[in-house]
Amino acid sequence: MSIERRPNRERTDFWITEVMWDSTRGCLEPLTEVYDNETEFIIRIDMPCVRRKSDIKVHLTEDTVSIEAQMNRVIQYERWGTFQREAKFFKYTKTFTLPAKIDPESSKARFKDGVLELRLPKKERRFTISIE
Amino acid sequence: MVFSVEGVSIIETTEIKVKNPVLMCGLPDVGLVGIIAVSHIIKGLEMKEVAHIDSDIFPPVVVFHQGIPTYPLRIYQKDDLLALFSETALSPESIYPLSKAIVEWAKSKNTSLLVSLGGIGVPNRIDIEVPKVYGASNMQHIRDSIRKFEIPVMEEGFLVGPYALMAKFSIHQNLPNLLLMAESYPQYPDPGAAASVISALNKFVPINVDVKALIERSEEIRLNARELMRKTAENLKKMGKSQEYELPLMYV
Repeated sequence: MSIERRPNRERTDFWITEVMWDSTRGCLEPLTEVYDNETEFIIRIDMPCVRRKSDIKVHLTEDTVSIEAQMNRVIQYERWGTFQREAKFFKYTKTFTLPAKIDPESSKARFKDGVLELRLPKKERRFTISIE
Repeated sequence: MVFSVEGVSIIETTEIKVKNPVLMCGLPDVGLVGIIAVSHIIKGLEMKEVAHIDSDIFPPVVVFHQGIPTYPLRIYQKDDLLALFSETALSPESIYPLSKAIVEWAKSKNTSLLVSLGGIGVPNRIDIEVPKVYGASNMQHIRDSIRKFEIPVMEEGFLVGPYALMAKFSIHQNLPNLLLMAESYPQYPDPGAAASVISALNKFVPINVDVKALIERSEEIRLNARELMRKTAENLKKMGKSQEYELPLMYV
């Protein structure tokens, strides 16, 4: 599964390519676990400090998933990383590009203890053949 | 004093006076369970730093705490209790000599019990309120204790990673090794699993560390450990961690 990274990510990639935050937009990238089985993708997203399901927006297309979730408070670091500068975060964002098409209308989501679970049924048609 | 094994040095910055100590290890593994648990124990017992570990095969990393550069792998002590933990992810190449050095150093200290605290990744962790802890040991009397404390014994299966090597080297050194592994999110920092292993450890070693504060700080820990968790997950994948979900062939 490939993960599309947002183009307006803060420029910190002088020598690294991946950071999990963007302090200019107050965004953190959540940790995710992706399971790809025969019939569906199961995506679990860890979002500590998100309390209510009403604070989470999940947008689906047939081959993408976008998540944005508001934290219940602003997370403020006085000295963030080696930059030693103040940083504030108040939401999570992440976009996935799926390797197969899904059926958005049959997809389900649940949220428990700060973990969002998405079950995304695959759209591909399946046939059973008889063995001669 | 410097103790060196295969390019890994354990540098004692303070004389470590112990008599048959218990050494608890929290190395980067599934759910960062060991690191979270050992870090909580170190804070809870106000243990003092007595040694650090270094090697030219470790990542070129130093960590600053309160303006002071510090080695990411450190050993703490309080009385006959030693605690080892890492603040950085460890490459697969460094795991073998590091595990060997830890076990041989523990042997040199006449360690009575080497405890590996870790996690077992379970896909249904979201539905588990209190993670179950599994125990394993190379010694029969410890396995008897595991059963006595009603902790399920890891009967069959593979273990991959630093604790696997420590278990192997402990067999070779005839060093008592106890593995306590809690059900955990595979790729998220899991303070709930860490609380479970501390509660299980309390049955073997009465450390009396309250896990309530750990649960209360759960969100903060999950937030701050994200980057370490991601790097650790990448390294575990390179180590072949998925073999833990395969069946051993011997008794088929």
